[in-house]
Amino acid sequence: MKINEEPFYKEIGKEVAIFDASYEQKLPVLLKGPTGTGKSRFVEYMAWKLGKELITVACHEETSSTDLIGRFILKGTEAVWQDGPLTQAVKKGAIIYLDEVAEARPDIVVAIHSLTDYRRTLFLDKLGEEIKAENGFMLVASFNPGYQKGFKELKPSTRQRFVAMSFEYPRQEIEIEIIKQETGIDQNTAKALVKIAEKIRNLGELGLTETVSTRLLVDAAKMIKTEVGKRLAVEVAIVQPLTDDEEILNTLKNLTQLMI
Amino acid sequence: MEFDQLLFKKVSNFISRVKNKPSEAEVKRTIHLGDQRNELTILAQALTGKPLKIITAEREGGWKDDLFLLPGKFSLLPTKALNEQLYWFRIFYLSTLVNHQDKFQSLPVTDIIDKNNTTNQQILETLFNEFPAVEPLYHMLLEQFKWLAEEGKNDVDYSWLFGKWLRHSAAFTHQPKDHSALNGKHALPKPNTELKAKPVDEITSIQVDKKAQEDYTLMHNFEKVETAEEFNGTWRDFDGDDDLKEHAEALEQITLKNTVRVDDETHSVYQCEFIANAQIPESRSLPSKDKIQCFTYDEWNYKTTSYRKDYCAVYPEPIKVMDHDYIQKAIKENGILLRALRKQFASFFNQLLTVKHLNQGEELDIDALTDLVADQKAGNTPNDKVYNSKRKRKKDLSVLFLLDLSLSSDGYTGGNRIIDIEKQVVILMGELLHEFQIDFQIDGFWSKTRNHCSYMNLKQFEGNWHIAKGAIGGIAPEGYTRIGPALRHAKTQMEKQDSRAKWIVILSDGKPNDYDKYEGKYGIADVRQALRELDEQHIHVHTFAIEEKAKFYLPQIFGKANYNVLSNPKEMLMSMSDFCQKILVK
Ligand SMILES: Nc1ncnc2c1ncn2[C@@H]1O[C@H](COP(=O)(O)OP(=O)(O)OP(=O)(O)O)[C@@H](O)[C@H]1O
Ligand SMILES: [Mg+2]
Repeated sequence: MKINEEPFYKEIGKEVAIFDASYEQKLPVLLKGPTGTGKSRFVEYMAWKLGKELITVACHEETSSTDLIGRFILKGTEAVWQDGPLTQAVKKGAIIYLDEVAEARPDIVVAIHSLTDYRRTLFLDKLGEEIKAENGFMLVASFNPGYQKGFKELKPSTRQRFVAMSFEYPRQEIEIEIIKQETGIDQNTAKALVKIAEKIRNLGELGLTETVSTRLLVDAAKMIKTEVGKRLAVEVAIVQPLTDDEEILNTLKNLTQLMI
Repeated sequence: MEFDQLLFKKVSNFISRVKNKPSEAEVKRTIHLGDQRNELTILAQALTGKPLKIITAEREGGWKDDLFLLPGKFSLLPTKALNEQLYWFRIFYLSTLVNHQDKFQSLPVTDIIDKNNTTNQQILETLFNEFPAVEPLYHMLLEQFKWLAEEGKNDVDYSWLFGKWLRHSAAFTHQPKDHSALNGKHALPKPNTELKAKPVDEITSIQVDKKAQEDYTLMHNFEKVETAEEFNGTWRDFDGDDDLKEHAEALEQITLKNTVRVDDETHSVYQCEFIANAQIPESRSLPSKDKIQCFTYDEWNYKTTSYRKDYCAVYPEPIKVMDHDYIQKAIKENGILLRALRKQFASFFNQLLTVKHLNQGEELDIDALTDLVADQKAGNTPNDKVYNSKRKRKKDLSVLFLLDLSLSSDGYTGGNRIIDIEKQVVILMGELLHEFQIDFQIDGFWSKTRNHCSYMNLKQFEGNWHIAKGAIGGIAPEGYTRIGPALRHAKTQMEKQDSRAKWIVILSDGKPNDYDKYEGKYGIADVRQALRELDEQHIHVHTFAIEEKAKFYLPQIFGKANYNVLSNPKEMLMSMSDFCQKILVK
């Protein structure tokens, strides 16, 4: 997919420069960080900035190397080869974004190994063919290192093949800025939302609830702009999705009502 | 009891009853901390991001270390809602203190706080700045207190609104501990009576030597008592008779400013909720290795981020009592649960049995088939293993259950005895695993200082389940909870197994504690370190926490996904089937 319009992305650290340099040096990039911290948005933005095509694969437990590289499909009496998204990106010299790589089957790690070092080649095992990556091909992967959630880990031997950047929830002022830009909501409401997030993230760190992502705050702000009303919007867009525990729900409802 | 004592007691009780009897209206508007505690804890943790606990204060309370002390009940304000709001305000106020520690470092300690005190004003300002909505709440409460003062009610002062500024213990080193286990619960026989102690904010623990104690019991208690007002009911019973009920009123009046530790078995439990900064000595002497067979293990010291070498001694304990009836009863009582579990277990179990890449079977594998066609077309030798089959295959899995047998498991949660829930969970799991031919072992542990950690093997991996059942029926609580060495010893057991997937399942109330300072941060850090060691060996750990409050501290130790809280049968089914799915599918 080619991105024509500039996506809104607010830089938080030096991530743009680092991505530029990695692209220049033909190094693969790993984006670490919890959900909703803007990883996907960042990749979109960079693809636009570099004027490149972006192919995204959302990995899940069943994603195997076949899904990435390609497979034979039956057409009439013929078996026809069809390139997978990774093979397409390698041939076109596009950016491939493997979202949540650690979730995928281990065999995809083996498949991408030769792409992540100096060889920059991909072996199509079913064709017995090796192809070299086009100039401008770039591999980007994301991964959510959640000790709290018992998420799958990425092996050190794999991690060390990437330039890695850590995405965190942004500082208050920046997060306020993002919410305002994304939704056009007023400063005070945006600020209140970010304050609420801070308190809930406190609980998240203690393992009591899921944490609140920037995405969730953006959604809440969108809800607030409707007829629903601030308090109800906060309840349904932020508090309720977090947990089913009665006591935590009650306390958070009361607390957030005091804050907005 | 002599006549004069009897008379004295009657008079003393009468006075205290007349003094303390609440009116009906007061009962109606009273808020009890016990009912609010969980929500207030969540609030405090959200506001501060610290694992604070809330405990009952002697009177108005305050902030001390990782603790918020609050009145056990509150009824001064005219409505229940107002009394409840006071608790909320107190949490906001205390959290402001915590969040701006540096700013308010030089608090004048334990003064009754005047509302116009400049520091107090600053604290309030900071609070209202961050939470504007709390300001009207504050003024409303303040008005109420003003009225009360005008009415000339005694016992009304602003300390109820702000609390006291308490002294922290030296560098916060003393963490709160589970004193239900530390204080009175040396009881081996089941306690018949359980009473709650009056809380105190500060405690000094005195070591008594046996001699002095014996001398003391010969002394007459009442000789020291002068007036009924001052009578503080200092019964000190070391003889282990169950006459706690009789002494209940007297005990009500004990202040636990000074405590002693005894090792005698008691028949009654006098449960003190908490003691801050009790002075407990660490065990100095090294583990004595000479006696019987003994294993030593390192322990993690988070302060120095290093191991204390061979710090703990683990002794295998023989099985003491067999009780087969217990199991029969448990299986009968949980028949429905067991059936439901069996059904679920079977469905998880069967999901796994698809074996791929076979040259015969009842299903074709589409991917393999297309590859075969493609290979044929390309003139390559095709791989003809294109079938899937649902075969019976023994699951390559070992599970070790580790039961916390410490005295705190003698407590109750949701009306059930913790140890009984533990037993029932292993019995049900044992039945299932036995039926499905999965290897499992069952062990129990408790400790009395690092020099004596006990580890009891109830069923070995290769052992006979039907014999082991009796041993499980017979187990009874003892000692304290030192989880680290038990986990490390369990690891040693596991290393002998050569299955592909290994699981250790802990059943506990989850709080690490031992007589010699194995608690709070230290205990938690050691357990986490032990978990890391297991992880390195690719041994998975799952915890069944049998305590409602566990959700407040378990995530810090085990991570969010790796435990279930069990306190009633319904949760048991959900948690256990959740767990079965995890071990079978992972
Ligand atoms: N730095 C940022 N600039 C602009 N928008 C942002 C930024 N960070 C987060 N957002 C907002 O948060 C939303 C979620 O971000 P995004 O989908 O990129 O998260 P993610 O890290 O990819 O999450 P996941 O791991 O769940 O895929 C975006 O749609 C955007 O509204
Ligand atoms: Mg994303």
